[in-house]
Amino acid sequence: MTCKLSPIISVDSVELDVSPYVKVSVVIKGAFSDFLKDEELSKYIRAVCVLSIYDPDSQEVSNSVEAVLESKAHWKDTEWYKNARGWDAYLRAEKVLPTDSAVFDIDLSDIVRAGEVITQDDKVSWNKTYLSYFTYIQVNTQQMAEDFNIAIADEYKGMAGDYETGVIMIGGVVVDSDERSFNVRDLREVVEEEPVDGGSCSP
Amino acid sequence: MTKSNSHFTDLMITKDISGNADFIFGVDMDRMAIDNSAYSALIADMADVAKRQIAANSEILSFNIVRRQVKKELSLNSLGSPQKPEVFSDETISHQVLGSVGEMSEVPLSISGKTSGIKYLTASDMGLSKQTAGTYQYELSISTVCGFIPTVNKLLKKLYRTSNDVDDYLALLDIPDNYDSNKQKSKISIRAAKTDEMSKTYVDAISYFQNLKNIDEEYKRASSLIASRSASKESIGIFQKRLNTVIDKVERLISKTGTGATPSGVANKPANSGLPNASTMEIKQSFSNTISVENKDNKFVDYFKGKGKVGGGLNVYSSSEVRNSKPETIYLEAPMTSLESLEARGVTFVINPIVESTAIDTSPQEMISSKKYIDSSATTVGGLLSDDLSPIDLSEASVASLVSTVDISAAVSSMAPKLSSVNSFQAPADKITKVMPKEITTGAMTKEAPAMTQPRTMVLVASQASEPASCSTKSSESMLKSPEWKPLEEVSGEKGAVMLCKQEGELSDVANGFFLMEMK
Repeated sequence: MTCKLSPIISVDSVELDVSPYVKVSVVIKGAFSDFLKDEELSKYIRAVCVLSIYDPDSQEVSNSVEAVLESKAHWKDTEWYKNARGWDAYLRAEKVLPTDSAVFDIDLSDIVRAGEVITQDDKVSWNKTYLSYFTYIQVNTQQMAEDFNIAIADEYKGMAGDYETGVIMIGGVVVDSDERSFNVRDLREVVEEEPVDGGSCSP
Repeated sequence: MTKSNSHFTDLMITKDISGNADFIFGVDMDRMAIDNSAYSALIADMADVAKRQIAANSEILSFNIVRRQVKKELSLNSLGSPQKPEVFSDETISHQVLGSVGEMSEVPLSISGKTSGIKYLTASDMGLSKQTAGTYQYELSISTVCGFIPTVNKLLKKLYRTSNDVDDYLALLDIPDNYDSNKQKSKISIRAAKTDEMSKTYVDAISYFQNLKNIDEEYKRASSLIASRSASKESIGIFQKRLNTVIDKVERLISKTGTGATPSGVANKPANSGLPNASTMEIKQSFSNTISVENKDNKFVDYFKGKGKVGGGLNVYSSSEVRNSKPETIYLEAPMTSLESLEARGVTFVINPIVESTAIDTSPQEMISSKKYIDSSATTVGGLLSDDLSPIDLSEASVASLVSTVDISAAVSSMAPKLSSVNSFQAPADKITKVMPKEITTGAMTKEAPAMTQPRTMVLVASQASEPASCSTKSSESMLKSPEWKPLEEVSGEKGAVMLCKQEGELSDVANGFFLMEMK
């Protein structure tokens, strides 16, 4: 059986804070969106936003986030981004109640460093990182089954709708407005030229 | 304020075929303007963008190049050691060669394909060919108005204007029902062109204090905070706070100048409008290279016969012309023999063939007994300049009567190498023969001194050891001296590149010894 939830979470704006902290404002689109407002049901439904600093061009991980979501691994494991092999170093997620103006506040400070100074943990710099998002609506079917005393197969423990994805920045540079459907407020401080031995620049 | 400085390259000077001087020199105008500013200490802490802008706002009041005759005088340093052999002497009069920078042509010189920030200027001294003799030196004087105060004032004015715009923007969002806090959208906002201008002003100001990695990205970043489609009240507030920080920085900079220029004072004053506190600086540069009017041996070598111009600075030749160039020796006069050279120096020889049977004039006044001067009694009577020595005018003396031609030959031969104009000298036992050089007028240059360096064309290239560099006000000298000369064969350049070349290794003077080569 294929179960598909119609609402899609679209990103309206992204705010890149000074520290590695991101605020993602979303809007929920689709016929099912009114249904999400039902208080009885809404407690089982969550809007999920996953931020990824994994640069697919680096090919450090054999799989891609898209491939994981396509395989519906998140249906079986609702917190796949925490447990899946190797993804913990690249992904951070937040779940919120799906409202008209849902905002995700996601702290990336444990995987991204704010300044340019390289420390022992060797995190990627906030001014150089790749950043993309994945959003979807997910139903906690397992909880629902427990509450309503119904049996449900493991592969439907976390039924989810279609996901939406987009790239926010590449190498620390926000993608051009022509290539994205959302606004970006970039609150990060200016990036200084890296010092070169023997001088700074030529006029 | 007058300062000497090291913002100039050497003066590379040559003569054209008419004897006019063509010269070129490099000057780091930006660094010169900054290093000689009264505010150089403040400027040193500013970013490269600011330094360039300050240099651009420095206005040249006067520009002069003068020529002065120099004479060889041995001057001693404080330790008593000889230093510069040629010095300006007080009695020489300066002749103006150029009276404005507009009389010089800027050469888009490519040094190993890099632009070093040095401006190369070339011009000609058409008056040198009118000089009859002497060695000459050139001196450059520039008087400029420092661009620091105008630059900072201009910046501050723009920042104040932007600050007012931000206030207006926030006031607009405070209009009832205009701003939706939840959606962070306003119904009435300001034009994108305006927010772009505001963000540009802010980033440009930041760039005066920090060397930004990518200024275009910073424009976008700043714009994202205030552009109406993405801005929130909070993000505009952040922009305002950052703008005020920059304004504070610029105000503090002005207060440090001690010029009395105040933020309120500059706000309504147009930049570059004859500010009372604008400082002027006088820069003098005496180039050590000299040029002599006389040609060595009255000849010169021309590698580009029939090509090139007279005046207008160094000649430009294509790379193929340079590679196919052949030296030709041009004699200004028929070359002198050794004897003619001696005659030119006031010594007259009258050559009489030696005839053993010829009776020697033994008139009493010319008979000189040397016995008393060279025998054992000489010490008691005195030396050769004894009062009773009969006067002899050596310039009119019969040389043959005194010495044989063999002796003359031996004497002149030993002198010949020391005489610059001696071409050849042969003295058979019984006569002296002038031997003319094989090519008296023009012709392919022969090897005059095989043991010396082979003549070759050299090209100015950047030294691999030292990259040109920075806007730091400390290392100007090393930057200007970093280029080096490399043989033409070892140099390649992109099509259209203009390179500075020189002919090296010639024993004779070379016309157009420095020239420009355009790569084809």
